[in-house]
Amino acid sequence: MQWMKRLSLPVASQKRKALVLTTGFEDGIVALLPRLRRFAAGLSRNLAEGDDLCQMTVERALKARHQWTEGTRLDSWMYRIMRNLWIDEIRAAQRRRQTFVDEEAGLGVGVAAEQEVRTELGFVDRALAQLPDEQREAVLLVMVEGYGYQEAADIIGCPVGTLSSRFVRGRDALHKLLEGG
Amino acid sequence: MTIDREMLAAYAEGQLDEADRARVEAAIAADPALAGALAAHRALRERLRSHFAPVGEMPVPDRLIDAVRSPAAQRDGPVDLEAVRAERARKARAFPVRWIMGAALAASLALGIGLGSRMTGHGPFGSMGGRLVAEGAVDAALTAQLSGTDPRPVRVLLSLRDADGRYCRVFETEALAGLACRDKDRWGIERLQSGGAQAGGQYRQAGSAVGEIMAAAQALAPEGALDQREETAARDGNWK
Repeated sequence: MQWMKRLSLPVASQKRKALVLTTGFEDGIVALLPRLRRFAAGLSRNLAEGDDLCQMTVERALKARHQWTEGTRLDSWMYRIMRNLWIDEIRAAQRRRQTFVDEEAGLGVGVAAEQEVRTELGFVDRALAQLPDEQREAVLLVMVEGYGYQEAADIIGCPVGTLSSRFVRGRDALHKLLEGG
Repeated sequence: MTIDREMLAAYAEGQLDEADRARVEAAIAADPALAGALAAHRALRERLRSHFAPVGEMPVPDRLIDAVRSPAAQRDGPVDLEAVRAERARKARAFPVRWIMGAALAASLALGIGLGSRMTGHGPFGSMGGRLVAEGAVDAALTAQLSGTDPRPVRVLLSLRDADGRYCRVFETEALAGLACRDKDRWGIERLQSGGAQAGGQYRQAGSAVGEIMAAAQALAPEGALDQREETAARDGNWK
Protein backbone atom coordinates (compact mmCIF):
# COMPACT_ATOMS: atom_id res chain seq x y z
CA MET A 1 0.00 0.00 0.00
CA GLN A 2 2.90 2.23 -0.69
CA TRP A 3 0.84 4.27 -3.20
CA MET A 4 -1.84 5.15 -0.64
CA LYS A 5 0.71 6.74 1.56
CA ARG A 6 2.03 8.71 -1.32
CA LEU A 7 -1.48 9.70 -2.23
CA SER A 8 -2.25 11.03 1.21
CA LEU A 9 0.20 13.85 0.89
CA PRO A 10 -1.15 15.13 -2.40
CA VAL A 11 -4.68 15.04 -0.98
CA ALA A 12 -3.74 17.55 1.67
CA SER A 13 -1.91 19.71 -0.79
CA GLN A 14 -4.75 19.36 -3.23
CA LYS A 15 -7.05 20.87 -0.66
CA ARG A 16 -4.68 23.75 -0.31
CA LYS A 17 -4.47 24.04 -4.04
CA ALA A 18 -8.24 24.05 -4.34
CA LEU A 19 -8.38 26.86 -1.84
CA VAL A 20 -5.84 28.84 -3.80
CA LEU A 21 -7.74 28.17 -6.99
CA THR A 22 -10.99 29.27 -5.40
CA THR A 23 -9.56 32.60 -4.43
CA GLY A 24 -7.75 32.75 -7.73
CA PHE A 25 -11.04 32.46 -9.56
CA GLU A 26 -12.56 35.28 -7.56
CA ASP A 27 -9.45 37.44 -7.75
CA GLY A 28 -9.50 36.86 -11.46
CA ILE A 29 -13.06 38.12 -11.71
CA VAL A 30 -12.38 41.15 -9.53
CA ALA A 31 -9.40 42.00 -11.72
CA LEU A 32 -11.63 41.76 -14.77
CA LEU A 33 -14.40 43.98 -13.39
CA PRO A 34 -13.17 47.25 -14.93
CA ARG A 35 -13.04 45.64 -18.36
CA LEU A 36 -16.36 43.89 -17.88
CA ARG A 37 -17.95 47.19 -16.90
CA ARG A 38 -16.57 48.82 -19.99
CA PHE A 39 -17.95 46.12 -22.26
CA ALA A 40 -21.29 46.17 -20.43
CA ALA A 41 -21.53 49.96 -20.76
CA GLY A 42 -20.88 49.61 -24.49
CA LEU A 43 -23.47 46.90 -24.94
CA SER A 44 -26.21 48.54 -22.91
CA ARG A 45 -25.20 52.11 -23.76
CA ASN A 46 -25.84 53.13 -20.18
CA LEU A 47 -23.41 52.85 -17.30
CA ALA A 48 -25.99 52.07 -14.63
CA GLU A 49 -27.66 49.44 -16.74
CA GLY A 50 -24.25 48.14 -17.70
CA ASP A 51 -23.46 47.64 -14.02
CA ASP A 52 -26.64 45.62 -13.61
CA LEU A 53 -25.51 43.45 -16.48
CA CYS A 54 -22.10 43.20 -14.88
CA GLN A 55 -23.50 42.12 -11.54
CA MET A 56 -25.67 39.55 -13.23
CA THR A 57 -22.66 38.25 -15.15
CA VAL A 58 -20.67 37.84 -11.94
CA GLU A 59 -23.49 35.96 -10.28
CA ARG A 60 -23.95 33.71 -13.28
CA ALA A 61 -20.20 33.06 -13.45
CA LEU A 62 -19.98 32.11 -9.77
CA LYS A 63 -22.82 29.66 -10.19
CA ALA A 64 -21.27 28.17 -13.29
CA ARG A 65 -17.69 28.13 -12.02
CA HIS A 66 -17.45 24.37 -12.45
CA GLN A 67 -17.98 24.93 -16.18
CA TRP A 68 -14.89 27.02 -16.46
CA THR A 69 -11.86 24.96 -17.44
CA GLU A 70 -8.80 25.93 -15.52
CA GLY A 71 -6.03 27.03 -17.82
CA THR A 72 -8.45 28.55 -20.32
CA ARG A 73 -9.00 32.25 -20.46
CA LEU A 74 -11.26 33.54 -17.75
CA ASP A 75 -11.81 36.83 -19.58
CA SER A 76 -13.24 35.28 -22.76
CA TRP A 77 -15.43 33.03 -20.66
CA MET A 78 -16.82 35.97 -18.67
CA TYR A 79 -17.33 38.07 -21.79
CA ARG A 80 -19.26 35.19 -23.35
CA ILE A 81 -21.52 34.94 -20.31
CA MET A 82 -22.12 38.68 -20.38
CA ARG A 83 -22.79 38.76 -24.06
CA ASN A 84 -25.28 35.91 -23.88
CA LEU A 85 -27.06 37.49 -20.93
CA TRP A 86 -27.31 40.69 -22.91
CA ILE A 87 -28.78 38.94 -25.94
CA ASP A 88 -31.36 37.30 -23.67
CA GLU A 89 -32.09 40.73 -22.25
CA ILE A 90 -32.61 42.33 -25.65
CA ARG A 91 -35.08 39.61 -26.54
CA ALA A 92 -36.87 39.93 -23.23
CA ALA A 93 -37.04 43.71 -23.61
CA GLN A 94 -38.56 43.37 -27.03
CA ARG A 95 -41.31 41.22 -25.56
CA ARG A 96 -41.81 43.64 -22.72
CA ARG A 97 -42.26 46.92 -24.52
CA GLN A 98 -45.05 48.96 -23.00
CA THR A 99 -46.40 52.41 -23.48
CA PHE A 100 -46.04 53.39 -19.87
CA VAL A 101 -42.71 53.15 -18.19
CA ASP A 102 -41.54 49.56 -17.84
CA GLU A 103 -38.72 48.30 -15.70
CA GLU A 104 -36.40 49.29 -18.50
CA ALA A 105 -37.20 52.97 -18.43
CA GLY A 106 -37.61 52.95 -14.68
CA LEU A 107 -34.00 51.99 -14.27
CA GLY A 108 -33.93 54.06 -11.14
CA VAL A 109 -30.65 55.57 -12.19
CA GLY A 110 -29.03 56.78 -9.00
CA VAL A 111 -27.64 60.26 -8.95
CA ALA A 112 -24.00 59.24 -9.24
CA ALA A 113 -24.64 56.89 -12.11
CA GLU A 114 -26.90 59.43 -13.72
CA GLN A 115 -24.19 62.05 -13.71
CA GLU A 116 -21.68 59.63 -15.11
CA VAL A 117 -24.02 58.59 -17.84
CA ARG A 118 -24.70 62.18 -18.71
CA THR A 119 -21.04 62.97 -19.15
CA GLU A 120 -20.59 59.80 -21.18
CA LEU A 121 -23.28 60.53 -23.67
CA GLY A 122 -22.03 62.09 -26.81
CA PHE A 123 -21.59 61.59 -30.48
CA VAL A 124 -19.92 58.24 -30.05
CA ASP A 125 -22.70 56.82 -27.87
CA ARG A 126 -25.39 58.03 -30.18
CA ALA A 127 -23.59 56.65 -33.20
CA LEU A 128 -23.05 53.29 -31.52
CA ALA A 129 -26.69 53.20 -30.53
CA GLN A 130 -27.64 53.26 -34.19
CA LEU A 131 -25.70 50.13 -35.09
CA PRO A 132 -27.44 46.77 -35.23
CA ASP A 133 -26.62 44.81 -32.06
CA GLU A 134 -24.53 42.24 -33.90
CA GLN A 135 -22.35 44.93 -35.46
CA ARG A 136 -22.01 46.87 -32.23
CA GLU A 137 -20.76 43.89 -30.27
CA ALA A 138 -18.26 43.03 -33.00
CA VAL A 139 -16.89 46.58 -33.08
CA LEU A 140 -16.70 46.75 -29.29
CA LEU A 141 -14.94 43.42 -28.92
CA VAL A 142 -12.34 44.10 -31.59
CA MET A 143 -11.72 47.82 -31.34
CA VAL A 144 -12.42 48.63 -27.70
CA GLU A 145 -11.69 45.35 -25.97
CA GLY A 146 -8.82 44.49 -28.28
CA TYR A 147 -9.77 40.90 -29.05
CA GLY A 148 -8.53 39.13 -32.14
CA TYR A 149 -11.10 37.94 -34.65
CA GLN A 150 -10.96 34.34 -33.47
CA GLU A 151 -11.39 35.28 -29.80
CA ALA A 152 -14.21 37.69 -30.60
CA ALA A 153 -15.92 35.07 -32.75
CA ASP A 154 -15.63 32.53 -29.91
CA ILE A 155 -17.19 34.98 -27.46
CA ILE A 156 -20.08 35.66 -29.82
CA GLY A 157 -20.31 32.06 -30.96
CA CYS A 158 -20.12 32.71 -34.70
CA PRO A 159 -17.66 31.81 -37.47
CA VAL A 160 -14.63 34.07 -37.93
CA GLY A 161 -15.79 35.09 -41.40
CA THR A 162 -19.11 36.28 -39.98
CA LEU A 163 -17.33 38.23 -37.26
CA SER A 164 -15.08 39.86 -39.84
CA SER A 165 -17.94 40.98 -42.04
CA ARG A 166 -20.04 42.27 -39.11
CA PHE A 167 -17.06 44.11 -37.77
CA VAL A 168 -16.31 45.81 -41.06
CA ARG A 169 -19.94 46.74 -41.69
CA GLY A 170 -20.21 48.15 -38.18
CA ARG A 171 -16.94 50.01 -38.55
CA ASP A 172 -18.02 51.57 -41.85
CA ALA A 173 -21.43 52.57 -40.50
CA LEU A 174 -19.87 54.07 -37.40
CA HIS A 175 -17.32 55.94 -39.43
CA LYS A 176 -20.04 57.41 -41.60
CA LEU A 177 -22.14 58.43 -38.60
CA LEU A 178 -19.24 60.09 -36.83
CA GLU A 179 -18.06 61.89 -39.94
CA GLY A 180 -21.56 63.31 -40.20
CA GLY A 181 -21.57 64.31 -36.52
CA MET B 1 -3.96 43.11 -56.52
CA THR B 2 -7.05 44.54 -54.96
CA ILE B 3 -7.30 44.86 -51.23
CA ASP B 4 -10.92 44.80 -50.10
CA ARG B 5 -12.26 46.49 -46.99
CA GLU B 6 -12.25 43.31 -44.95
CA MET B 7 -8.67 42.58 -45.84
CA LEU B 8 -7.60 46.08 -44.91
CA ALA B 9 -9.49 45.93 -41.62
CA ALA B 10 -7.91 42.58 -40.81
CA TYR B 11 -4.52 44.11 -41.55
CA ALA B 12 -5.24 47.09 -39.29
CA GLU B 13 -6.26 44.71 -36.51
CA GLY B 14 -3.18 42.53 -36.90
CA GLN B 15 -5.19 39.52 -38.06
CA LEU B 16 -3.21 38.59 -41.18
CA ASP B 17 -0.42 36.10 -41.61
CA GLU B 18 2.92 37.29 -42.81
CA ALA B 19 2.35 36.73 -46.52
CA ASP B 20 -0.96 38.63 -46.58
CA ARG B 21 0.48 41.33 -44.42
CA ALA B 22 3.28 41.92 -46.91
CA ARG B 23 0.80 42.05 -49.80
CA VAL B 24 -1.36 44.61 -48.03
CA GLU B 25 1.65 46.72 -47.12
CA ALA B 26 2.81 46.75 -50.72
CA ALA B 27 -0.67 47.77 -51.87
CA ILE B 28 -0.87 50.53 -49.27
CA ALA B 29 2.48 51.90 -50.34
CA ALA B 30 1.19 52.12 -53.89
CA ASP B 31 -2.25 53.53 -53.18
CA PRO B 32 -2.86 56.69 -51.14
CA ALA B 33 -6.56 55.86 -50.89
CA LEU B 34 -5.73 52.64 -49.04
CA ALA B 35 -3.36 54.53 -46.78
CA GLY B 36 -6.15 56.99 -46.04
CA ALA B 37 -8.60 54.20 -45.26
CA LEU B 38 -6.08 52.65 -42.89
CA ALA B 39 -5.58 55.97 -41.13
CA ALA B 40 -9.36 56.38 -40.81
CA HIS B 41 -9.63 52.90 -39.30
CA ARG B 42 -6.94 53.67 -36.74
CA ALA B 43 -8.46 57.04 -35.91
CA LEU B 44 -11.84 55.42 -35.28
CA ARG B 45 -10.29 52.78 -33.05
CA GLU B 46 -8.47 55.45 -31.09
CA ARG B 47 -11.63 57.48 -30.70
CA LEU B 48 -13.60 54.49 -29.44
CA ARG B 49 -10.86 53.44 -27.06
CA SER B 50 -10.47 56.85 -25.53
CA HIS B 51 -14.24 57.16 -25.31
CA PHE B 52 -14.57 53.99 -23.24
CA ALA B 53 -11.30 54.31 -21.36
CA PRO B 54 -12.83 56.29 -18.45
CA VAL B 55 -15.29 53.46 -17.72
CA GLY B 56 -12.41 51.02 -17.41
CA GLU B 57 -10.53 53.40 -15.12
CA MET B 58 -13.34 54.37 -12.76
CA PRO B 59 -13.43 52.78 -9.33
CA VAL B 60 -15.59 49.66 -9.42
CA PRO B 61 -18.78 50.06 -7.35
CA ASP B 62 -18.94 48.08 -4.12
CA ARG B 63 -21.97 46.15 -5.20
CA LEU B 64 -19.95 44.49 -7.96
CA ILE B 65 -17.07 43.62 -5.66
CA ASP B 66 -19.58 42.26 -3.14
CA ALA B 67 -21.17 40.14 -5.84
CA VAL B 68 -17.82 38.38 -6.24
CA ARG B 69 -16.56 38.37 -2.65
CA SER B 70 -19.73 37.60 -0.75
CA PRO B 71 -21.29 34.62 -2.44
CA ALA B 72 -23.17 34.05 0.85
CA ALA B 73 -25.15 37.13 -0.09
CA GLN B 74 -26.25 35.46 -3.28
CA ARG B 75 -29.96 35.22 -3.62
CA ASP B 76 -31.78 31.96 -3.53
CA GLY B 77 -33.44 30.82 -6.66
CA PRO B 78 -32.98 32.19 -10.12
CA VAL B 79 -31.49 35.64 -10.47
CA ASP B 80 -32.17 37.66 -13.54
CA LEU B 81 -31.46 41.12 -14.78
CA GLU B 82 -34.95 42.27 -13.87
CA ALA B 83 -34.37 41.31 -10.25
CA VAL B 84 -31.05 43.13 -10.17
CA ARG B 85 -32.61 46.25 -11.64
CA ALA B 86 -35.63 46.13 -9.40
CA GLU B 87 -33.33 45.92 -6.39
CA ARG B 88 -31.37 48.95 -7.50
CA ALA B 89 -34.56 50.88 -8.27
CA ARG B 90 -35.90 49.98 -4.83
CA LYS B 91 -32.75 51.30 -3.18
CA ALA B 92 -32.90 54.46 -5.25
CA ARG B 93 -36.49 55.03 -4.13
CA ALA B 94 -35.61 54.40 -0.51
CA PHE B 95 -33.39 57.49 -0.46
CA PRO B 96 -35.12 59.95 -2.72
CA VAL B 97 -34.47 62.96 -0.53
CA ARG B 98 -30.75 62.73 -1.11
CA TRP B 99 -31.09 63.60 -4.73
CA ILE B 100 -34.26 65.64 -4.74
CA MET B 101 -33.16 68.17 -2.18
CA GLY B 102 -29.46 68.01 -2.78
CA ALA B 103 -27.27 69.00 -5.62
CA ALA B 104 -29.71 67.88 -8.28
CA LEU B 105 -32.26 70.45 -7.20
CA ALA B 106 -29.70 73.21 -7.03
CA ALA B 107 -28.48 72.33 -10.47
CA SER B 108 -32.01 72.15 -11.80
CA LEU B 109 -32.89 75.53 -10.42
CA ALA B 110 -29.80 77.07 -11.92
CA LEU B 111 -30.70 75.59 -15.27
CA GLY B 112 -34.31 76.54 -14.75
CA ILE B 113 -33.39 80.19 -14.42
CA GLY B 114 -31.68 79.91 -17.77
CA LEU B 115 -34.84 78.49 -19.24
CA GLY B 116 -36.93 81.21 -17.68
CA SER B 117 -34.82 83.98 -19.08
CA ARG B 118 -35.58 82.75 -22.56
CA MET B 119 -39.29 83.04 -21.98
CA THR B 120 -41.21 86.16 -21.35
CA GLY B 121 -42.62 86.79 -17.92
CA HIS B 122 -41.94 84.56 -14.96
CA GLY B 123 -39.28 81.98 -14.40
CA PRO B 124 -40.54 78.43 -14.44
CA PHE B 125 -40.47 77.83 -10.67
CA GLY B 126 -41.29 79.73 -7.56
CA SER B 127 -41.60 79.10 -3.88
CA MET B 128 -44.92 79.06 -2.06
CA GLY B 129 -45.33 78.23 1.59
CA GLY B 130 -41.98 76.48 1.59
CA ARG B 131 -42.92 74.43 -1.43
CA LEU B 132 -41.50 74.60 -4.88
CA VAL B 133 -44.28 75.34 -7.39
CA ALA B 134 -44.44 75.65 -11.15
CA GLU B 135 -44.70 79.11 -12.66
CA GLY B 136 -44.49 80.66 -16.07
CA ALA B 137 -44.20 78.31 -19.00
CA VAL B 138 -44.02 75.17 -16.89
CA ASP B 139 -47.19 76.12 -15.01
CA ALA B 140 -48.94 76.99 -18.27
CA ALA B 141 -47.96 73.73 -19.91
CA LEU B 142 -48.94 71.60 -16.93
CA THR B 143 -52.30 73.29 -16.73
CA ALA B 144 -53.22 73.40 -20.40
CA GLN B 145 -51.18 70.97 -22.45
CA LEU B 146 -52.13 67.40 -23.16
CA SER B 147 -49.40 64.77 -22.97
CA GLY B 148 -47.23 64.35 -25.98
CA THR B 149 -48.25 67.59 -27.68
CA ASP B 150 -46.43 70.90 -28.17
CA PRO B 151 -42.91 69.72 -27.46
CA ARG B 152 -41.35 73.17 -26.82
CA PRO B 153 -40.38 74.67 -24.53
CA VAL B 154 -42.13 72.33 -22.11
CA ARG B 155 -43.28 68.87 -23.01
CA VAL B 156 -45.71 66.98 -20.80
CA LEU B 157 -45.06 63.26 -21.00
CA LEU B 158 -47.92 61.77 -19.06
CA SER B 159 -50.51 62.32 -16.36
CA LEU B 160 -51.57 60.10 -13.53
CA ARG B 161 -53.57 60.05 -10.34
CA ASP B 162 -51.81 59.24 -7.09
CA ALA B 163 -53.17 57.35 -4.10
CA ASP B 164 -54.57 60.59 -2.60
CA GLY B 165 -56.49 61.31 -5.79
CA ARG B 166 -54.21 64.18 -6.82
CA TYR B 167 -53.36 64.63 -10.46
CA CYS B 168 -49.66 64.47 -11.19
CA ARG B 169 -47.81 65.07 -14.42
CA VAL B 170 -44.36 64.28 -15.72
CA PHE B 171 -42.79 67.06 -17.74
CA GLU B 172 -39.58 67.77 -19.53
CA THR B 173 -37.86 70.93 -20.70
CA GLU B 174 -34.61 71.34 -22.53
CA ALA B 175 -32.73 71.46 -19.28
CA LEU B 176 -34.62 69.26 -16.85
CA ALA B 177 -37.30 66.72 -16.15
CA GLY B 178 -39.78 66.79 -13.30
CA LEU B 179 -42.86 65.44 -11.63
CA ALA B 180 -45.51 67.91 -10.47
CA CYS B 181 -48.71 67.23 -8.52
CA ARG B 182 -51.77 69.47 -8.33
CA ASP B 183 -52.22 70.83 -4.86
CA LYS B 184 -54.41 73.79 -3.82
CA ASP B 185 -54.63 75.15 -7.34
CA ARG B 186 -50.89 75.05 -7.86
CA TRP B 187 -48.51 72.53 -9.38
CA GLY B 188 -46.23 71.49 -6.54
CA ILE B 189 -42.90 70.16 -7.79
CA GLU B 190 -42.39 66.70 -6.33
CA ARG B 191 -39.27 65.82 -8.22
CA LEU B 192 -36.88 67.63 -10.45
CA GLN B 193 -33.83 66.41 -12.20
CA SER B 194 -31.47 68.23 -14.49
CA GLY B 195 -30.40 66.87 -17.83
CA GLY B 196 -33.72 66.33 -19.56
CA ALA B 197 -32.24 66.95 -22.96
CA GLN B 198 -28.98 66.84 -24.79
CA ALA B 199 -26.98 69.93 -25.51
CA GLY B 200 -28.14 69.72 -29.10
CA GLY B 201 -31.70 70.33 -27.97
CA GLN B 202 -32.87 66.84 -28.78
CA TYR B 203 -34.94 65.27 -26.07
CA ARG B 204 -33.21 62.40 -24.45
CA GLN B 205 -34.96 59.09 -24.13
CA ALA B 206 -35.92 57.21 -21.00
CA GLY B 207 -33.03 55.86 -19.02
CA SER B 208 -31.70 59.36 -18.48
CA ALA B 209 -33.18 61.99 -16.18
CA VAL B 210 -36.63 61.19 -17.49
CA GLY B 211 -36.17 57.52 -16.63
CA GLU B 212 -35.67 58.40 -13.00
CA ILE B 213 -38.70 60.67 -12.97
CA MET B 214 -40.78 58.06 -14.77
CA ALA B 215 -39.81 55.49 -12.19
CA ALA B 216 -41.02 57.86 -9.47
CA ALA B 217 -44.24 58.40 -11.39
CA GLN B 218 -44.80 54.71 -11.71
CA ALA B 219 -44.29 54.28 -7.99
CA LEU B 220 -47.05 56.85 -7.41
CA ALA B 221 -49.52 55.18 -9.76
CA PRO B 222 -48.87 51.51 -10.22
CA GLU B 223 -51.88 51.10 -12.52
CA GLY B 224 -50.38 53.46 -15.00
CA ALA B 225 -50.98 56.73 -16.76
CA LEU B 226 -54.27 58.36 -17.62
CA ASP B 227 -55.42 57.73 -21.15
CA GLN B 228 -56.18 60.63 -23.44
CA ARG B 229 -59.87 60.75 -22.59
CA GLU B 230 -59.22 60.72 -18.85
CA GLU B 231 -56.52 63.33 -19.20
CA THR B 232 -58.71 65.64 -21.26
CA ALA B 233 -61.50 65.32 -18.69
CA ALA B 234 -59.08 66.09 -15.87
CA ARG B 235 -57.78 69.18 -17.62
CA ASP B 236 -61.27 70.41 -18.44
CA GLY B 237 -62.13 69.98 -14.76
CA ASN B 238 -59.08 72.10 -13.90
CA TRP B 239 -57.26 69.09 -12.38
CA LYS B 240 -59.56 68.90 -9.36
